[in-house]
Amino acid sequence: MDDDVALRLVTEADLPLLERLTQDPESAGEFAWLGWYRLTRFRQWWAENRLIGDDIGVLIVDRDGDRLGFVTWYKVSSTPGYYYWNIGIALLPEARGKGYGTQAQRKLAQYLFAHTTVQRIEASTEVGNVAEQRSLEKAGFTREGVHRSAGWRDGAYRDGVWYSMVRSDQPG
Amino acid sequence: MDEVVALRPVAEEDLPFLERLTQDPDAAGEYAWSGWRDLLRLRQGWAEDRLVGNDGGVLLIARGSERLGFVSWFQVDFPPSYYWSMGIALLPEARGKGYGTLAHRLLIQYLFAHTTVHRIEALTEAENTAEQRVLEKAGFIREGVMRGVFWRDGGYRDGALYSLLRTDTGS
Repeated sequence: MDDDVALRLVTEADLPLLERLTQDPESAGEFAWLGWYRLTRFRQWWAENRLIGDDIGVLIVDRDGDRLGFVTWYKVSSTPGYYYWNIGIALLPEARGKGYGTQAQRKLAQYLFAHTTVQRIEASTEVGNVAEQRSLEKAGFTREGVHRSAGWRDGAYRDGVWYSMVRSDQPG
Repeated sequence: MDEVVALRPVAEEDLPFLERLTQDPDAAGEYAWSGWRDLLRLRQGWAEDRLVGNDGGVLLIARGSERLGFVSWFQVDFPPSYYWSMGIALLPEARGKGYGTLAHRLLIQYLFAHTTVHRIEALTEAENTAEQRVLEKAGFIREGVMRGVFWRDGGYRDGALYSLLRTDTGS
């Protein structure tokens, strides 16, 4: 039950999925629709580094060969010489509400703690995005607080809520 | 005697002062000292754009001809928008006199006047209660503790995050 999804590399055939989830308002969903910008970024980055870089990465969320969506991570630096990861997720509308997002985020955190030296992984979502907050909590993240007017979406500044997982939070 | 505290761009003669505040452990103080790195950053930045750019800057805090410290800010991207994160460094002998609160207020006024940002945040170590009091006096609202956001003096440190919105200032 906890092992339905896997994270795998993005192939060229997956690029239309990434574009659909970020460029089609219906698929992106209320909280992720930010308008059209930098439309060729996935293709360009895929050609450069297959979407795995030192500061940013993308993996497909896969269930038995079905593409459900993708996860991302990017580097945040508070001071020179120190960094941590900020992760995000996008799932197709039909893949939501089934626990796949929780599994994918938990697996991404495990992956990043296993293969990088970070102490901290954070995730943020809009205060109104209750589904994602529940998903992060079930994935083992701890709520830290609301950052006021952190983002702009659909004509207004929106409050964001931040979550974190530190290395010692991980079981075992 | 009662000179006005003001912010001004960094002049070439100020560079040794900035270097002392950032490269001398005693001047930097407990919370700001995290080792020597990138020692030419200030000089190179000054040569490029006088340390005032589109994505951040440094201004000297002066009281007449006396240098007290500096304030700095950098851009935090949150597409499609962004906000500023600000910080301060004061000479040890200039601390505890209200100059920090004043300098924060001056930088806030400056950033809201000359940029379109809606949000300014400040992140300081959870143990740095002196700076937190200054932020509160300057009108910042505490948002929460962020775990493991710094490494300093041999250990991971938590940060206390504060923010000020344009609408908080009644503008």
